[in-house]
Amino acid sequence: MTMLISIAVFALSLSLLPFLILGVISSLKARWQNRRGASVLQPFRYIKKLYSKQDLSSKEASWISDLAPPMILASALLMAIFTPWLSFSPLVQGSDLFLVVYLFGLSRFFTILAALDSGSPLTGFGASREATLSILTEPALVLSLLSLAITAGSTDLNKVFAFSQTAAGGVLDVAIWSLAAATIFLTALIDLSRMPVDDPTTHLELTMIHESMVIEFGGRRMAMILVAYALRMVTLLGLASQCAIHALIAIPALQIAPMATIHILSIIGILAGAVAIALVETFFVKLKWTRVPEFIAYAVTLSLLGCGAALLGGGI
Amino acid sequence: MNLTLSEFFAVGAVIFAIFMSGTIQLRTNLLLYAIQTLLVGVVTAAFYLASNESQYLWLALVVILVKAAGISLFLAWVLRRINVFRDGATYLPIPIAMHVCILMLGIAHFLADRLPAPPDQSLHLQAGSAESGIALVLIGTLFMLTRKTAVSQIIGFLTMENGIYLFTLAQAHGMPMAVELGILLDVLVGVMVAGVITFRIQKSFEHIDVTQLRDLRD
Repeated sequence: MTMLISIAVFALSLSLLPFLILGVISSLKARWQNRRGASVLQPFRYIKKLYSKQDLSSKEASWISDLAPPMILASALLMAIFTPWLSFSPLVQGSDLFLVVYLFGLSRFFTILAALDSGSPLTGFGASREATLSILTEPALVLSLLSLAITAGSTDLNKVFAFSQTAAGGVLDVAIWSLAAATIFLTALIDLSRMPVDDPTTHLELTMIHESMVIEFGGRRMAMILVAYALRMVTLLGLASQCAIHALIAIPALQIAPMATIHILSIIGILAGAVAIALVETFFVKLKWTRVPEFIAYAVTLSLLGCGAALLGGGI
Repeated sequence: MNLTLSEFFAVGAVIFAIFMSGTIQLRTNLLLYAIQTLLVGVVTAAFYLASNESQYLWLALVVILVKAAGISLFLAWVLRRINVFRDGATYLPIPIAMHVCILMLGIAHFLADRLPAPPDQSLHLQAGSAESGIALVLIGTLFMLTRKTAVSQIIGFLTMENGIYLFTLAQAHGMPMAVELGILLDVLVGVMVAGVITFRIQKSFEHIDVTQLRDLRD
């Protein structure tokens, strides 16, 4: 019975949270930029509108353009199911670290393929940049998850995020988990093409990355890509907030024992991530493209430090 | 291996030093230097809690007030005055510099293992780590070697000084109070003089790139 309830709650949050997060970010941004902004529920309406629109594709496009959006959506959905991004995620068998990373890569691969397929120079431009970014950011995500896997002694993400390892030793644990949280948050900023790397609100400019790749899509296929984007965002932010919660409960003075608190914290953590993204997008400007590798270097550095700390901890 | 609280802060200082070598914005460099020095002060305060000798508390206060706040504000004022806010080109690309700094942290870890044991083992665990001290010295050296503006040279020098301070705290439980304060005064005066010299360089050459100061002029 409790299993059923937890699955039901998970399904509910999987279907509501992603869009709510998008809405929260855009309405907070509007508020802080002295605009009134749309309501938090705007993404729901937008996706509904996209679904009822006519779907057109360019003359150059082949069957790949039809295949890619469902594939992107499917891999994002699988990732959201396999990754324990909420403390009450149902335990799915085989939620391996590398599976999640490759699902991540798969959705990116199909985004790039779809961008190249539509034959527009602008999308090709964005695809090339996305490929470069993904090469640079993947080490950060893999290494930070690996540092957690080293401490847990397993690459099974259910075991890594199991809220059971306080044995490795207080302060070092706090360090490892908080380094991982920071890395995954930075990776999320880069990967979701948010502000310091890419400006999600620019359209039809040569500076953008993600928006230029999907510019040829409209209607139902655009809706699929948008849903996949929201799912990826909530998964990454959820992972970061799970790491932060683990860092919190590893502090010996803070005894957050009851799971109910942790469940509530994991949703608050995701919302806090959204607020942080809105803050970053209000106060920072987009980096020049040649400066982006320097920003990514911070994420990689943090993950390397985390790995070093995990190895020192004698997890192997 | 377990990490004590003061080691946590000492390694935190190194991490901020690594971040410092990851940006060419001089004001961000200064901010990160200030945080790093603040953490060094916190390590000293933690050592006061362990050893219960009041001189460490005063030392922590002076370090935080003079080095973390005073020198950073002075250098920020210098930057505003000469209107230079970023380091032009560096010798080493920024991402590579950051990764070399991590390598240096690794080297420091292995070096620190070979050091002779400090006098009092129980206090040693509370005094930060010699490893962080060595790493800060190495990172400061790298910072001075790869940057070109005069202000960066000063920041690199100050980072090295932090490293030496942390190292003595860990290995010898700090120097006598008078010596420590004398060093602080020296550093303060040194930074003041260097700041004034930076003004003069800017005035006569209209840049503060130290690599171009080799050629003599009429």
